[in-house]
Amino acid sequence: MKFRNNYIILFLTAFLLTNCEDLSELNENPNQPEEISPDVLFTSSLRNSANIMVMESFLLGNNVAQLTSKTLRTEVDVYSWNAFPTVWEGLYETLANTLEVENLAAAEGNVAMEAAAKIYKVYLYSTLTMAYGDIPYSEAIKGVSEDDWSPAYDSQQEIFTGEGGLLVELEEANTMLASGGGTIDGDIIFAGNAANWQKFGNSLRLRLLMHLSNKQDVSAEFADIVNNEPIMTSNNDNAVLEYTGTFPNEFPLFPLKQGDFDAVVMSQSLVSVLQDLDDPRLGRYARPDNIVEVADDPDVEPVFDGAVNGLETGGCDKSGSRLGLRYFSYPGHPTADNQANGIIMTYAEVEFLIAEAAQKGIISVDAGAHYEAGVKAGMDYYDVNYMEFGWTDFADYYANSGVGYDGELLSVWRQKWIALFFHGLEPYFEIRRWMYESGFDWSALTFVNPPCENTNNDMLPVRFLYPGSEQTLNAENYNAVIDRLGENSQNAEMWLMKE
Amino acid sequence: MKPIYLILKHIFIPLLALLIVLPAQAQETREISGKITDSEGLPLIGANIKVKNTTRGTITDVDGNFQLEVLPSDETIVVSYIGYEPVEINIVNKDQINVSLSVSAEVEEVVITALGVAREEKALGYAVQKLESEEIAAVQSTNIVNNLSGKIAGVYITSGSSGPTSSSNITIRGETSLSGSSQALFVVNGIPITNGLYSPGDGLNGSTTIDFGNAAQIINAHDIENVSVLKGPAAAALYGSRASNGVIVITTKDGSNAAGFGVEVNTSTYFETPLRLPDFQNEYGFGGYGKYSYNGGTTYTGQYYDAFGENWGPRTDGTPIKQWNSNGEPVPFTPAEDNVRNFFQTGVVTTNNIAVNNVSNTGHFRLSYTNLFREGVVPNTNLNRNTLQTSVGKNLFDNRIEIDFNAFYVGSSSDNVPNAGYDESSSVMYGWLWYPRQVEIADLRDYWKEGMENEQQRYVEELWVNNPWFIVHENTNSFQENRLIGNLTTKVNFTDNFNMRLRLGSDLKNEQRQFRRATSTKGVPFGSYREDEITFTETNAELLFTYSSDRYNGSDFAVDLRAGGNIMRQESNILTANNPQLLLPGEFTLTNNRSSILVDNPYARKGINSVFGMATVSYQNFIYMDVTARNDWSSTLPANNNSYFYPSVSLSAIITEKLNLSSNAALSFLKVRAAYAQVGSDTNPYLLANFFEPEPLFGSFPAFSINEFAANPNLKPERTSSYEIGVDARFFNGRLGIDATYYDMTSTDQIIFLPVAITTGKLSRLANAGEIQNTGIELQLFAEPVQTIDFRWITTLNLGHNQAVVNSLPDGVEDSYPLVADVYPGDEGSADMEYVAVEGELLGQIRGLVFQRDDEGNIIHEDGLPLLTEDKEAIGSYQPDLRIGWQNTFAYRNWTLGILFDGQIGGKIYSRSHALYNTGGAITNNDDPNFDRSTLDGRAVYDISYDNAGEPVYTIVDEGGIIGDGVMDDGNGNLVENDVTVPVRDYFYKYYGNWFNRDNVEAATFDATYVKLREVKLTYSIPERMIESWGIQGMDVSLVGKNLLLFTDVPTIDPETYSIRNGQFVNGFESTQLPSLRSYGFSVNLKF
Repeated sequence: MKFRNNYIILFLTAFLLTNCEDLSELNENPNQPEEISPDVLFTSSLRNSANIMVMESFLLGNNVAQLTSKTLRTEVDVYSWNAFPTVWEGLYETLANTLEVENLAAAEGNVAMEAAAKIYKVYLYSTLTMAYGDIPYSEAIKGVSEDDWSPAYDSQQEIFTGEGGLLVELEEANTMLASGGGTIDGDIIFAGNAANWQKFGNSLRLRLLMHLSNKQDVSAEFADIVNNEPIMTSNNDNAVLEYTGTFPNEFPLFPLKQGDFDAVVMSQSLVSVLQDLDDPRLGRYARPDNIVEVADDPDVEPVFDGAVNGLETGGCDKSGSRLGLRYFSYPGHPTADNQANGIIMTYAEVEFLIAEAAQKGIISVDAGAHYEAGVKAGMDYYDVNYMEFGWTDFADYYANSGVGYDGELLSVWRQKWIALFFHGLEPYFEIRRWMYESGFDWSALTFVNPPCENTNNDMLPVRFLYPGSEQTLNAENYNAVIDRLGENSQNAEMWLMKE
Repeated sequence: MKPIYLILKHIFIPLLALLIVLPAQAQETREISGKITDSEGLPLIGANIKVKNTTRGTITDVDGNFQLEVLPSDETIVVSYIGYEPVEINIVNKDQINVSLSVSAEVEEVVITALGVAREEKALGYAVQKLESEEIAAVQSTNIVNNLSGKIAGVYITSGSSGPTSSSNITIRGETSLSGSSQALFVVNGIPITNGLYSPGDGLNGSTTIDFGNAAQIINAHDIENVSVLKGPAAAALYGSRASNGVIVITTKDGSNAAGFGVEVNTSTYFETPLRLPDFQNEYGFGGYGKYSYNGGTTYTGQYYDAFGENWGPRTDGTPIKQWNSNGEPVPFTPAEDNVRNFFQTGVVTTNNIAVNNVSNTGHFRLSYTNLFREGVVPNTNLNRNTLQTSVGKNLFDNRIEIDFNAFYVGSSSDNVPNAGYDESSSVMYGWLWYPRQVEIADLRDYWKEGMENEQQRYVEELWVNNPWFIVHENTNSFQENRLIGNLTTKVNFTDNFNMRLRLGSDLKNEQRQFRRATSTKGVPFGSYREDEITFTETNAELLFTYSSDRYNGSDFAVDLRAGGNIMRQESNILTANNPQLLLPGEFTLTNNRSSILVDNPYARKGINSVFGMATVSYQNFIYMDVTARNDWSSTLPANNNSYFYPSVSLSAIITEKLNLSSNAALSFLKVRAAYAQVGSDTNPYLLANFFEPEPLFGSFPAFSINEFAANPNLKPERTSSYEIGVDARFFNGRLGIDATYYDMTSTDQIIFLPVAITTGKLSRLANAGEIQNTGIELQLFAEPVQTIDFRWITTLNLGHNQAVVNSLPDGVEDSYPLVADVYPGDEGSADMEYVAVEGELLGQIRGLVFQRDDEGNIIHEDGLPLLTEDKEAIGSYQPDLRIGWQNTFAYRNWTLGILFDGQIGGKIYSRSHALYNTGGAITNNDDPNFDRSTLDGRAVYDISYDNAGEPVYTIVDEGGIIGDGVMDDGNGNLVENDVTVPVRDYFYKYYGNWFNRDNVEAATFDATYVKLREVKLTYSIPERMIESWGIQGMDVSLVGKNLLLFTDVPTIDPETYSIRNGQFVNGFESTQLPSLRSYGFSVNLKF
């Protein structure tokens, strides 16, 4: 037996040794890199968030603002809201990448890239806090680099105005970009142009300051930016993602089934305003009902229609024109030369922000001039056909359509509302602000109406619900924020909405 | 890896060539025959006759008769039968041998246990159940797993219905894992093979989408000698970590069972038809709220409802209505009653098998070829499978060296595997949900618009659904698979007591798949084309030393000692190339692209090194004890934590050995057994470090994102520990038997993806957490109630009861841990239906919204519609209380009738199909145990005519509407009986969830109890005298039927089903599955 035991041990040892590759070597991942440069993450972050904002504009922003109307699955229109988890999940997921860009760029000493990522981070966080109120901010995204799995919710006030808040971050980014240094790579929005990022960052500051203006005096900062800092001054400065037109970099609505695209049509609210003014943007935003005939014979008068916002199965008129050629391609319809872009922020919005600020006395500039520039910027952006709507050019339209500046704040709002088509969730945030400023009186905002057969007593919901997963996965912090908010309801007032 | 390849190349192949030649020399044989009876002269059916010291032999027929070819050199045969004393008989110069056996207390059943060691069943301290080739191949299926269904206590098989390659879910003693994978390990001739699902890229909305089949299904039933099922960790401990969910040990035929040269031919043909289709209604057609008129097929609501996609339209009473193919003319609106059934065709499965054996004193040889062709019930779907199996054995140097080679090659292919799920682009089942009740299926047969072949399909509406003929002929999913499974075993007998065995095995799989989506597919307007290439290799090299002694040092102890090691390497490579948009319609190539090709190419390697040992000690055939130990080193775990050790011990005692019972005592055999075991387990490769995930380019910009889960460099191995106790008792000379097992199995430190709040930047993190405890009882009852000379009735009942309970969830998980967080993703803003683990509850809870109810349980209504809860609730688990298999065999002279019932009691199933069909108004809902309303009652009815402009004019006949059963708020906070009338469609929609979300799990969840008449087989063995003259030794002709009857209260679907999500089976959820199948046919078996 003794002899045999030795035999066995010898064999086993030899057996194992001859095959002794290092097991850990087998577990080295050949598929994905463990280290990477920030530019490729920036590309991903910009594309994914632009895609999300287009889809959320299509499903939420445009519909709540009554620029478009849902004909199917009308919960959004009738104010039966839920968490819209795709907003929450999608934006936090892109934030994880954006913050990684900021960190990696900082580690490399690439100041311009760090600043660009910072600006974009603010854009994403501002969208989230505007939609939900208090959100995880200072403790968020710590699972990527640290072992921290329960971020607390920061108050909206802190997020806007605190030490490390959005406005401070934007100011910092402005300083960083002004001092120069570094290159912005992987930038599919401005092709690495640092001056454009600086303009976008400062324009975004104007947007946030306007939202903040009901809570505190923002005039000094607002005026300082308009007078002394670079901001968007033409459509060349627009923060938009130009899609390549080929999968998967198409305008995100193109791959939809026809029925899903048709589930959103032009709203009666917008169509009636555009028709009253013979606004040539109607021919871009919307597809004539008789598109086939119009395409065959340019003399045929295009026909447009708008659906009322509200319930699909009730007595609400749900027939409306489909969205324009650049948003989707139908078999048998002509195709647009260019697909629509993913809009983050445009020059037109900036002009209207300044016009409103002037109108309200926040700064002292000529409100009318900025109003006119805003209307024109919108027209130019869509490269409208004035002739089709009976105008020779913009001057003719501005002078004779009735759009000319009448000194009324409501007119600034109405024109800005038209210009915000497909601007992410901003159309909703602005309608909400204007309702707030008008004492939630629908009759004051003459261009929109309470949705047909809505389920919220004609009350525009003021926020999205927190997703149910937060209650499960981050319970302690979730319960704390609900204590502050009262209840997780679409009617609960966030800080910006409180008197 | 390299040494294994070298061995394969330089030893294995030359040896194979040598071995094939050797045993092929023909030998002189002669035939002996005889009759085996018991002491009362009754024939013993199925008694074993074997030539001593060989594996050649036969069994007796229904009259107790046998014939056996023997070699001139054969001197002795051994006759044995369960429960009887075996006898040895000298056959020199004898042709006719009649033997009477006397009853014994011994049970001589031999089973194959871990490491391929053949053991007497009586010696085992744990539960093992065995099936012989006849039991497996009795009623053939294209998926070998289905052949086991109902035949083994404690083995839970759910066969799917997803086309010719349909997967089968097999778990032994229930689910043990929070990560969803509890599939049994398949071992063929001692070598583990993959049974993966290989389904990269799920469909849209969570279901079995395109099911290319579980990888073990390819094993050909005709090539199987027997199957041993090692149920618990104790039995399986030596197979290592992958065996923690039990092992199916398959031994293939090696030809050694016959004498000399023999040929066997099997042929069978089955026809298949849908077992169950929904109870479609035929009183109302396409449209909404009673209205329909065709106007281009593009309006969802309004005047026309011609793309409404539901059957809430006008009465199908012959009223003239403008329809999709009537060229603008109103034509009678009439039902097309069997339109869905008429789409399906009768499927055909033909199997032809020929096997050749040759046996000599020093070797054996078998070669078998099988062709299986299956044409599916869905038109243009099929499966073609060719199997070549060979086994060669050779003994050298006076049996000092034994060499065995086993291999089978399987080539499978299909022109189209149907999509069975909620995927509009290629599932015909999706289409039936919305299919117009008034449209004959033949009217859609020409599926291209005239003059627009390959460019524009033709259907009744333009917005949502694809033409079913277009789907099956254009949007195909094809594959070609090559699989080679082989092993070479060399055994060196140093002495009679001491040997060494080296076994090299490999499992090579290579598969190509092609997915076509034609231009104009809804949701894929340009069409697309994708190719997948999947390769998988597993190699094992195992070395085992065995020392055995029947009377160790002259004592009453018998000792077996084994020690060895194993090296396992796996390599998988999945290449997917997707052309997401075709440039030219109808050209399905990767280069015919209008945008860039998307490529993914995950490659993974894994290795486990192991050493193990086993000691078996027995005392006087009375007490047996096994002790095993194994240590694994896995590449998937951190270097400092990658080694894990696990032991097992089992004990059995044959009480009857010591009782000195008289031969006619009621109790003829009694054994008690007990076992304890631990098994450790590793995880998947590449989970220890974070990485960046590549994304498609944006123009020329590369893009990456951070990975969604947080890796964990500190993972530990998972642990399962279990014990079991059992008793095996036989009475009345073995005419009544009972085998019972109780087990308890606890899995801890599970390696799971723990979900985290997305605000952390991650979706989940890897952690060791959670505990699941499985307890259960397995019961086999055997009886032979009738035993006469002419007629016998044998009945076997297999019962399994298992409860997998979640003892603890990971820290930080509040109420439930999602096993699948969103079973039906893709719905806008719905409350996701989940498949969850809840602490203290059965694993696999169905969770979602439920009805708001008052204290008496009445549904609360608002505005006439049912209210749902705000929060989700878990409403029960898929786990049945009991699984039952009841097998009966009746033998009368040359006739044998086998009948198998199989089913389950309890468990829940959620049927997405039922909810969808009902909200679409397509079925009557007369068979729904939850909801006592028909979709036919309370519909709005209009008379329809056309004005001069050709516009429809609707005149109200009946407003319709229904008042739901339940209560409502009277405005003052009091609940009173609901009295609000609402449109019936609205009520059905709200009943099944928040409108399109159908997120109410309560409404469409049913008690999944069912019983199936699983197998019926009537065999006639043609008497030898009738066929002798043709040179035929045996001929059986059988009529067979499978899944002939289904008894259940579940409406609309066959409750035996599952979904597949993320490559894992999800039990208890059904989503637009293909109908399950009933099959019937015949088979012929010939022996020469």
